Amino acid sequence: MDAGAPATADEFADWVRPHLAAMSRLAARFAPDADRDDVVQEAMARAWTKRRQYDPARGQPSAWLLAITADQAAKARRRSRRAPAGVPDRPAADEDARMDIERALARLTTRQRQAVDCVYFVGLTVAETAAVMGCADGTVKSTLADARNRLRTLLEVPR
Amino acid sequence: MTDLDERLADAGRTWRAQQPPPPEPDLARLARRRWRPIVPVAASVLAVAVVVATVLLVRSGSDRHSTATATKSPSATSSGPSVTGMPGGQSPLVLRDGDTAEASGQVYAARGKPVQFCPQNPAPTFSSSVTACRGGVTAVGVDPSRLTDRQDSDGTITGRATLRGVYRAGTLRVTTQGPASQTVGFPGPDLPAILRTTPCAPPSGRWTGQPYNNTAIGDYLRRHPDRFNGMGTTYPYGQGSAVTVIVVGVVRADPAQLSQALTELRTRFGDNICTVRVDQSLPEQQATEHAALQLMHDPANGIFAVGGPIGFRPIDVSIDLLTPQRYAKLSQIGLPHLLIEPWLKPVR
Repeated sequence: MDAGAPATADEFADWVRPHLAAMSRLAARFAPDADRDDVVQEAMARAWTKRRQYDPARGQPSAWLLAITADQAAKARRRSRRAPAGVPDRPAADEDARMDIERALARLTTRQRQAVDCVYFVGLTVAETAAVMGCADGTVKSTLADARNRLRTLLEVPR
Repeated sequence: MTDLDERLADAGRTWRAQQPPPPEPDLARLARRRWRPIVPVAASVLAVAVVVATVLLVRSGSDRHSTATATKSPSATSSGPSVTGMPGGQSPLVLRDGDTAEASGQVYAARGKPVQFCPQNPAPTFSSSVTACRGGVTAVGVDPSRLTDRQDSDGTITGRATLRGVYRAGTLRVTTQGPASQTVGFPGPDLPAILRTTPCAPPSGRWTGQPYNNTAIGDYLRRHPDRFNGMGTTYPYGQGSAVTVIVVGVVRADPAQLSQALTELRTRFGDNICTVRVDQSLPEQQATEHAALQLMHDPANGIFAVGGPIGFRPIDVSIDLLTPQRYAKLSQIGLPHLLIEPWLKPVR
């Protein structure tokens, strides 16, 4: 376990704690209809049982924990209510701008929306986003570029 | 940073500021978990192979109507909208009085009111507690005790179910009730089928890893909106590979025009470009989308989502049920340019 995930539960909790905010945000974006905290706790429990598989040579703890969180969010999403791509009901006035973006995001492809969610909303780096999406850094960048192109059209943003 | 980047960054900051603090690690939950043995390598490889196969199956089945496959000059938007070319209300998706129909969705049973059955929450990017159905039908004969995820709040019972019954004038008389289906996959429009493979042959036998200027290509296409519509990325050697190909839609191009556009774009931007035929220009497709959105603004039309990837697929129209009257309205927009997906479908 040298340099890997800690062996005791207390140490493990301390090790995970700096990454909890990002894990929570990822759970909220990827499984909006599920219980966010339950998804995070389940991700932590999964990480705990798999902690011997964490290899610091292969990536930062944040990327490993976020990938597990994304997996748990996917499972939670399948258990919770789902729907086809939709447009939220009319928002309150002070949320109009953000809602416009959310409505536009709902029209992106799955991968494009995941990339935008990770980078802009969850606040992840490209490398962390690549870990979450299970792809290369360059793939994240090109997916983001495609998403921005589509969003410029949807949001009528001039270049 | 561009204006779009700033808007996205602002939206992200605002959203993050509104999030509650993260939970504290639940040590008791950790203590209940036992060590999981590391899976032997051979078994892991097998498991990965099975997962990949499953994902491919799910994905190939999730693009509801597109059937495009890799060819040298495919048509991206003429390959199979759900109700294309079926004039006069002959589409198998049109629901008429007396038809047997089935759907999986949300059930609302408020005390003293008819039971409502409707599509599940149509706002996947928001957590929301829905307190009433939007669209859908009145359901007669539902057994509230058998609902999936049943909840009882102040006498209002909610839950989910798969219901089959006879439809007539906005009411479904239930003949069969089952558990709600579990939809697999992240909600939202999936990748157009045309972009799941690279639908062109590589220029010299093999795609190279050369970099390309995505922004410059996008700028060029936007300057020619009547010629080009749609730009996407494909990964001819898998998403883990650094090799990507830009696929560009060429409006109503015949094979010669498609080849000419390919030469033009490769000369300007490099070899990793592929062209496919699309049936509408961006202004035409935006007009189609706008017309569908206008219909969506009237709740009587039952449309709860319009959108989807521009360029490589018709405009998605999600509708609670497709009556002959609604079919006639959508026909006026242009059925070949729409991908209509009713929630409550007739069972033929």
